[in-house]
Amino acid sequence: MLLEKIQLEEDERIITMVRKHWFIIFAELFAVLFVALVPFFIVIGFLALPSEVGNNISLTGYTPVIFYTLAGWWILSIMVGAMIWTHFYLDLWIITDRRIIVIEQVQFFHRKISSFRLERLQDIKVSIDGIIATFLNFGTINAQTASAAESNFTSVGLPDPRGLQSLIQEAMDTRLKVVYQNPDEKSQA
Amino acid sequence: MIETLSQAVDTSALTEVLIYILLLVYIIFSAILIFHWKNYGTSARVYTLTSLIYFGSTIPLFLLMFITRMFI
Repeated sequence: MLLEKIQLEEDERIITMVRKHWFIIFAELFAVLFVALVPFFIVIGFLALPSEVGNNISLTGYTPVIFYTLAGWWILSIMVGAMIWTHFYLDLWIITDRRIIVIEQVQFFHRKISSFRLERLQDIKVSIDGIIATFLNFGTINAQTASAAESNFTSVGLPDPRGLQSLIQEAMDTRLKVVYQNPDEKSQA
Repeated sequence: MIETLSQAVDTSALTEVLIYILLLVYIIFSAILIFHWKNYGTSARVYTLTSLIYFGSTIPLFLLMFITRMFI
């Protein structure tokens, strides 16, 4: 498992682990469910055809083909659903008392893992766009580090972004106090 | 039109080819899925639950495909 592989420093403590908001996965899986039901809509459409048009089309005798196709279609839908769920679950922000680890599962075999120390954190921006995001309280967090060499870290669809922002800032303040009281820690960093 | 289509295509052979292609894709996909969960998952309980739901729903559907293919 992942947590066994992440090398935490001595006395480093995980404060929280954050995944994307449930609405993100709900919306994506709902789309898959809709696609999975498309064959039903087609069959219903056939049955609803007026008798003048539908006289020449009879589904009797095609029951095995229909069940065969449905089963194949659902297997593909479940595979897509499993892929979406996997990408959702493996996307992760791990906030420790020393750093933030951002894991992004872009695709299968395309994984980005970034880590930045709290004392290098310069700015955290939060944006909540849209009615649904406002009501369900999820949004985008952009963390900017002091180092020019490092890129910014942006994640969309994080739950309670303002709460997360204050949690990170609190952890950052605590970390800065520790670093300035004990400059040896800074040189270790 | 459907009668013409079924006469033109050997449905039995087509369904057999399709099921084996799907099975191959499924096996490769499942292996990739398991690899990701085993290596990058954070909870053994969620991994087990995901596997149970995934295999518990897809294997019966494959059985249904193999059974219905016999009647095509």
